[in-house]
Amino acid sequence: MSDQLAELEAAVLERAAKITTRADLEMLRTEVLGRKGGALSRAMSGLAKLPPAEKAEYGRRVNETKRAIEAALDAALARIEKTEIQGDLARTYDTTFPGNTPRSGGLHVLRQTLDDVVDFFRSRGFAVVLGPEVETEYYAFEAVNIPADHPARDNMDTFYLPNGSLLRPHTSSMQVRALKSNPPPIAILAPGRVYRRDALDASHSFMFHQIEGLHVDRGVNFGHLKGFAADLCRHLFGADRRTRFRPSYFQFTEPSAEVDVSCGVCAGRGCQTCKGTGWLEMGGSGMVHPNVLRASGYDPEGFSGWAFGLGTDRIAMLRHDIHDIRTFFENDPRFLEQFA
Amino acid sequence: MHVSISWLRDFVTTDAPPARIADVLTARGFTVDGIDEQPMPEHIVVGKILSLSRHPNADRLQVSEVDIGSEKLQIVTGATNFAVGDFVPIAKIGAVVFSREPSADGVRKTLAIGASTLRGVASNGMMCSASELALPGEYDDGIVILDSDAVVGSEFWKSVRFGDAVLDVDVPSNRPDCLSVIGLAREAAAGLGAPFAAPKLDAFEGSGDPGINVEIGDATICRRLEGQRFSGVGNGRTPFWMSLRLKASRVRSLGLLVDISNFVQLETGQPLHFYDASKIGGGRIVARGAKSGEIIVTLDGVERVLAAGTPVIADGDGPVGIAGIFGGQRAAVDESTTEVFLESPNFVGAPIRRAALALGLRTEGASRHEKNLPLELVDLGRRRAAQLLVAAGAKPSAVVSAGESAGPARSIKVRPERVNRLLGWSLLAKEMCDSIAPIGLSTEGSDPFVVSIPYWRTDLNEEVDIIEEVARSIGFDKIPEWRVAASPQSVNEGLFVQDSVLARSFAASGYAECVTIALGGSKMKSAWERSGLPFWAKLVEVVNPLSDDQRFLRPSLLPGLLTVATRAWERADGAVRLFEIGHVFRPLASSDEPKPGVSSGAFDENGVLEWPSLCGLAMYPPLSAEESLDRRLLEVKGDVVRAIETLTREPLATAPAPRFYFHPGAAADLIVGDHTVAKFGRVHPLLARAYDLPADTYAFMLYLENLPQRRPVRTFEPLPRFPGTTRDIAVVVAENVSAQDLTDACRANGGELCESVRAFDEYRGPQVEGGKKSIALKIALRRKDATITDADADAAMERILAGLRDRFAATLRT
Ligand SMILES: [Zn+2]
Repeated sequence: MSDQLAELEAAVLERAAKITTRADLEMLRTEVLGRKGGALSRAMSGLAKLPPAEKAEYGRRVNETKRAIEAALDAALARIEKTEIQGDLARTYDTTFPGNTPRSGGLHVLRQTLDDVVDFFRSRGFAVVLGPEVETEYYAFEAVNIPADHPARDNMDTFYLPNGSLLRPHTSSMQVRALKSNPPPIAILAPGRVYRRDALDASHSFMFHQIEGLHVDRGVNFGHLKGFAADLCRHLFGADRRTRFRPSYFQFTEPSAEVDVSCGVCAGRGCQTCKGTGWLEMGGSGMVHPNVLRASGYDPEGFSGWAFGLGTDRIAMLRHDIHDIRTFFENDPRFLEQFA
Repeated sequence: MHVSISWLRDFVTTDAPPARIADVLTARGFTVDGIDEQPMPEHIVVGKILSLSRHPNADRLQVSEVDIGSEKLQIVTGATNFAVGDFVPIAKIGAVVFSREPSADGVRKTLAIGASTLRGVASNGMMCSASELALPGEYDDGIVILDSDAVVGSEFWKSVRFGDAVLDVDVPSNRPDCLSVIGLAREAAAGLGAPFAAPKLDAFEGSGDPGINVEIGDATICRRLEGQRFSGVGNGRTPFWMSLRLKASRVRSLGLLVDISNFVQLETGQPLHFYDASKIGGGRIVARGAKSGEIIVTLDGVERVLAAGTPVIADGDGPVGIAGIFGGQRAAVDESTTEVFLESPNFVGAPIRRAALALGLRTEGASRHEKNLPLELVDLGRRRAAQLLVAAGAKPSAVVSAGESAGPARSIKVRPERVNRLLGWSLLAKEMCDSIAPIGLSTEGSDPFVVSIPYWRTDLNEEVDIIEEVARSIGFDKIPEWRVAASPQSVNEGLFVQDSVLARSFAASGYAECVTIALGGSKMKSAWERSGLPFWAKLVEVVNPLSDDQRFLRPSLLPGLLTVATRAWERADGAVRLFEIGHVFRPLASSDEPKPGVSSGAFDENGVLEWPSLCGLAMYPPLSAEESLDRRLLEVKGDVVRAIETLTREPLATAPAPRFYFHPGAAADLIVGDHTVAKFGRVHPLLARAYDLPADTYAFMLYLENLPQRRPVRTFEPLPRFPGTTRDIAVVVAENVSAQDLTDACRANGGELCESVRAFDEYRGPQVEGGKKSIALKIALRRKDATITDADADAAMERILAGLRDRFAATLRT
């Protein structure tokens, strides 16, 4: 009986050493170690016929054989795995095939531009507010110090609606809305669509986008506006860009200033992009006019503030070298994809 | 406004080059948009034609003898527009002038003048035309004829008082004083630190009665009128130097009288008007409102019926002009005029502006008068015109006037501390006062100091206006920059946050964001109506559109996005996905599509219902195998659900709901609680076809106002501690039973053990009986207190199936 066990062990060990696949190994394992009908369990079944004195010794021998076989099978498995990994490692792949991008979507470049502006304003403690595009004459004009019959209304040729309301010609209409509906201090930016009665061409659209920044508190001064605008221009266009404040006129600010950023194409020397001036117009700004503060119920002796109106489309055009404003609204898929 | 540097130099003493003057004006708020350099060829002098004779060998040439002071030159010329005794510009030998040939690539060719012989006759110089000297404006081809007081032999550019450059200055609308050469000169002088000399004019008043009186009929229209008659002057030749300056300012030269009124308006800012005195009836002109139905024929020959109250100047026979806006034909000056009557008026701005708008006559005069010019200009303008007329040989009458006289100078009190507080600066009161003195703002005292306002600065009304003058005068670039972060806000950013979150979700799902124009017209409407489906009936219409594309505000984002889709689909080689976020507009009480409750984000206080909307479109190439389950519809639904779940995890129900632009069998609402938060469906095939889109086109809209603006903070639910099990079943039900019906019933009957139910497939075909369908469900079961046993799970499945049997007569498909 013991000889049979020794023979089985020798035979199994010899076969295991030659096996090269997992399937053959599994087959051998079942054949030898299987619970039902395995060679070893058949050997165990002989145990019952043995005299009691030999039983213990035989049982020990069976277990020894089993351990030896198991060890041999495990070693064979380790050998097979090693070969497999070596084979795997020997493969080379062409990693230069294009990656599979399942779907390509993206945000419009105007939203990306706005997001960048919003990031900057928020980093300075400002919050975003949105408002209606259909506005009353009061918020669009009267509240921002442009009374009826004032020639300043001509500069913003406005669309009117049947009930006397209008399409806001500027986001400055949000100034008094924000001042009235929130307690001071106010630090907001109000982005949105605005409308002017213009024909559509490369540099004009009857719908475009503005961002109104407004900071009203005790002690806010023109120097704050200068610092803010200079930092914003650097944030949007690069650390090497300079800003210039040019006196200007807006009904709702006093003093008023146009903010220019140095031309990035010619570094301020003068080129076609900047029409030879070395400067690009960024937007209008100034200290909130006392009449606007009064219209909002603020005492101009106690409170002061600045307002800064930016063109989202213009910023995007300057940053991305887009020369035709219509490009934004045509939504050509090839355009959208470039900025996705 | 275009102004020549030489004209400015009549009032500023400076040698500064044009670029420097331009910089100074720009820094003071008068942005110079362009500098037209005036080339000034050398060796051009004033010559007098002494004699003219035929060229012996050429019919088309003349031989002239010209006196240029230092010598007499023989010059052969082909020009014929001059006579003996005329003064003309002569290019001497050595001069380089411009060729008459048209310029190639913008660079004009030049012509060097040398001694020559033309058909055997010596010619030692050239008579110049305007184009050879590159003078501004339009001229005919002839030789320039100079004024008869020109000095023979003098340098041409000095003689015509012109040169250097013409500046294109952008004057802000609150500074009518700088719509004048004098005003700009004052600002330039202040910026350059150069002396400024205001014009000192005599009264030029004769003693004779003009025979025409002036009257103010309506003081709400006209504040002051001055009038003066001039004899012995017609609408003759304008001095050459004056026509040069007018042309440099982009004003055409149209005869002496018209030119003088334009010249004085440009120089002083005061609009003037000349009448033929012989055509004024009744011996007076009066400024008044038109009577109802009064008629005037204006200078352009148009007969206009005036609305009652329109400001007019009338004589005894009716209106002779629309006040300050446009002259009338009846009393206009012409070639036969020898007696003129000058009107120098001051009108009230608002009525002039209203009338000009109503008549569609936005003339230069109207745009000046509507800014409420100072009374003091009336006499200044009259005196300057009189000076020029007298120089042209006219004899002035006495001056007649009516209306208000100028009052005393206004003054504004300024606190230096306030100046520094608003500007963030630390100037001394003296620095402030010194800075504004050069522009005529004299001050008294120091804290506060009192500024006396010169008459021309009608824009200065309160302390803050002087603060701007100080800032502007010292220079915005000198104000220090300060940095400060604003204190945290109580402002609600929700609407913007919602936009951003949703846009990012759809972008991540493969949708490209579009921005379309929110106004539409017949193009938008007819593109939609090609489908045979009705366009929205009630639209918010624009009262004053400029073009057909601006007729109404979009009632929905869908039409605009469909148009974008047409172009995108044309080039697509796979699925196309687009979305847009923007406001849509309906008239209040529009009923063709009832809107669920208006809450945050919607605006209706302006008589128009306006609310933010999100619309998406997805288009797919045709499928090869048709399947009963529209997996693309479900993909689009999944994109919408994913976006909604970025804002809320409340249970989302789907309810079929037809919309006129969707396929009637493939349209549904997504509902949270009581509110529809989105709708989605397959685009109506007729609509898809009208926009050249594939049948597999799907659309969705989100009701942003019914969605939370940001995701609420979630409470953590402990992870399951015991393993669960899942069972897949397929049940056969009637066609009208929906997946939602079955999953709801499973959940209800499965009780606590039922963790989730999901319908994942649908089958119709030979294996199920006709008129029925099979729906496959995946049911997850779990106990919270122990590992679920097979027996537990079997019992739960038994309950679930029994429920489906009772409710829907469902049978298990095997
Ligand atoms: Zn440049």
